[in-house]
Amino acid sequence: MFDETIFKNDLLKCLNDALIVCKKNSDKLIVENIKTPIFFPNGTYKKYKIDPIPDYEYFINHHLKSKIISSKTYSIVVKFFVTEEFKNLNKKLIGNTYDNFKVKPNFVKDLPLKFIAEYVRINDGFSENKTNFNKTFQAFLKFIKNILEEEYITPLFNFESDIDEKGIMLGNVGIRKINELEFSRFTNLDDNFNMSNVFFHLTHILFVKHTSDDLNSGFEIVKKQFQILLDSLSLYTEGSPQIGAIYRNIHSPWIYHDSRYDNDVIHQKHLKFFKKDKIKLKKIFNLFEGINFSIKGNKFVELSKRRFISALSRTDPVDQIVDLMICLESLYVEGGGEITVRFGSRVATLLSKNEKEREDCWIFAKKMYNLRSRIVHGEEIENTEINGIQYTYDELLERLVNIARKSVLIYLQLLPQYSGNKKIDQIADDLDKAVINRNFLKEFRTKFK
Amino acid sequence: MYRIVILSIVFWRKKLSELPNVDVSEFANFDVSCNKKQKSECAIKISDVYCDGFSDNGCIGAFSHFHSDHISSLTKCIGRYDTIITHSITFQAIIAIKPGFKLREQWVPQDYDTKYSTKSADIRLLKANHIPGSSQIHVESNGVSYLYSGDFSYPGVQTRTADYLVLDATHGDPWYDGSTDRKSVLNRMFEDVKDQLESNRSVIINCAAGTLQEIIRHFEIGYDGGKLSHDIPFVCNKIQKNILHSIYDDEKKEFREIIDFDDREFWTLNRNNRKHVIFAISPPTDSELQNHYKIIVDRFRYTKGDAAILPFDGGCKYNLSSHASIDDIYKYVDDVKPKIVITDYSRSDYAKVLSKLISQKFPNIKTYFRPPE
Repeated sequence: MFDETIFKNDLLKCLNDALIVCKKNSDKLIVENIKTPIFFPNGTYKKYKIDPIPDYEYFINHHLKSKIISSKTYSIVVKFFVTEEFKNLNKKLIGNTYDNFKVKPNFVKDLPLKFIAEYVRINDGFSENKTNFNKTFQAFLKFIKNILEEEYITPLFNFESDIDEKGIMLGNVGIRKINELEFSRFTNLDDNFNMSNVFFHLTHILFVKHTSDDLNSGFEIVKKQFQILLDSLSLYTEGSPQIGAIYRNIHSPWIYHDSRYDNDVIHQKHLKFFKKDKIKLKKIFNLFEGINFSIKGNKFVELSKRRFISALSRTDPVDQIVDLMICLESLYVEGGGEITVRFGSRVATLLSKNEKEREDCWIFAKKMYNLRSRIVHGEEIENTEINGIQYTYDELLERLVNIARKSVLIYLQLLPQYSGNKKIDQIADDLDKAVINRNFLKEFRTKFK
Repeated sequence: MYRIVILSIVFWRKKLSELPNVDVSEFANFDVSCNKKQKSECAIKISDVYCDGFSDNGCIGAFSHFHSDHISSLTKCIGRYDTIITHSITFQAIIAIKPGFKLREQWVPQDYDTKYSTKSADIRLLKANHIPGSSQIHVESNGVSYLYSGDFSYPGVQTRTADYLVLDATHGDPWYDGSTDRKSVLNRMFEDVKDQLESNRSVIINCAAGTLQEIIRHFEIGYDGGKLSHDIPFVCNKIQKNILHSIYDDEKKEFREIIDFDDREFWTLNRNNRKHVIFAISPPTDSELQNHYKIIVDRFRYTKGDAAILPFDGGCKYNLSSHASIDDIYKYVDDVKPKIVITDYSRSDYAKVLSKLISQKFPNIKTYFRPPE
């Protein structure tokens, strides 16, 4: 890195020269009416207000660009940007697009412009203000020190929580309350006259910081990290949390920003999460982080988990039942022959605490398996009575979701305790043994909580 | 001392023997005509017509197409020549670049294969299949015929026999002879752009002028499959937009509004993360646009056997190459049946090699690269 004091002095001189140019051309500054969201105390969207906001960004980075960069003080500041950090950023931006070009562009030469634009935005005008300069300078230094770091965020739909703006962290990924800028960007508030229903309930976001030396790999990596937290939430308790598009660097005034993976999200049952329950969630999150699902022996649990998440996002109860049954079959059924009986007894053995519960669970699981078979063979579902109780579809689903959630969570705990490519067979054998051997069942139960 | 003199004579004899046997009189009506100190983009003299360049001696000029390396001397030519012939599309593109030129009386916009006669010559423009409006320039004078190829892509060109042929030597280079199927490559490009936009990613398409307009036209009208909603803005600079609207005047109603690259509207939509497609003749150097999906058309080498579509990290390279391969050049020369061929050394260093290759393939044809070193 360069000498910060010398750099700061030169940057101040450059800024002062630029401010003179800005003042001279201030009649060209465009002021635009911008919508800003206002939230209810519970964090949901209430309404928007319209404020006249000067477009300093375009004014400095484009309209006055040639005038500002032609100053001597500007060229002096650019000369600082030759250290390894800046070379790395330039390399990242260039990628291999310019392989066939003799002269490669130097993108970092625009950074002082961004600094000036950010200072003017914070200062809301072209006057000299030491405090605002220091504030901008500190933010700029922070950026330089982690120049390849990017911030990714995504809206967390169907989610309610007392988590505040500071947020909580689970591994690298955090959850925090949404702010005005994020809400405006997600909803495209300025141009959007028909905001989707899900945004009216949106209160929180997921965020993660990721460092990479290329422009393209980050999104994929971050998407997986967000998915782990989302899966953990889905297994933690009731509700159907979903994420939207992933946005990059929307808070950074220094570099590019963009988004990927636009999802169609629908309004569904909210997951209610309290900050005090972070430890419980963290345990599930750690389970996911500790398992390599690309290993053959672990894949059946990953398939099961995917079907569970898929079921939560569906709107048709019949589709949900099919997904949940596939989720359970992926865990409990390892081969052919007497599937209904084996499926029922394994589910009951794993999940029930006493004889009565076990019998009830065994009957329920068998009945659900028959129901699933009728659905996939296109038959009408007329009778939903199980063990003398008449269930509605919602009641069936609620019980089935709980069974599936518990099962996946237990299997996540069991996986590290088995080895090889046939973990599903090993666990099924142990479950079958536990049906007839009570001592073994006790021993087996110590493998999970 | 005596030994040094002898060695020097031997050296110079050897050197001179390597030079082609040039009959200077052959270039009186047919040459790459460079003014003093001019080293590149010289005029191609065929009879009394000066093509794609300026000459102090010229009265009649012709322009093969509107790429910058072929119209760089336009302002000087307008000040000197009495007549300037070019294809109607090229004319439209030129006046889109420099609107004031429309008022000049020298212009003779021509369609393909239409004879224009001066006192001394009959001039025809022949389709060159390079960019919209691109032409070969064919001249007949006193019973002798001349042809200047300009940039061309074979097959798909009109041909006419000529006694003298000037070849643009950017063609035939084995570094650039990868084959392509323009329509199918354009279709694939459209699908690629659509996929990127659907995954919320904006796109930059970097290509030459002319090709840029062709791509926009293909996206708006040419592609038979699904269309791109007009809510997705197209962005390019004012000149390219003017060229587009000039050369496709009849179809421009079907095009979406195109936003100027320098306009605040574009930078606002980019800041607000609204997906868009930028068409640029040189890659934008703004750091905030480097995260766009990049499509690079023709700027790279595509040798024989290379696929016409090559993905790279962050984008995809497409070969719509409007360049002819060496085999195509041989077929073209065979079609034209010239007695003498000149390769244009002012626009490509490959002229020397190309001249030699043609002379090897056609021993009865005299070949030269011009101007000489």
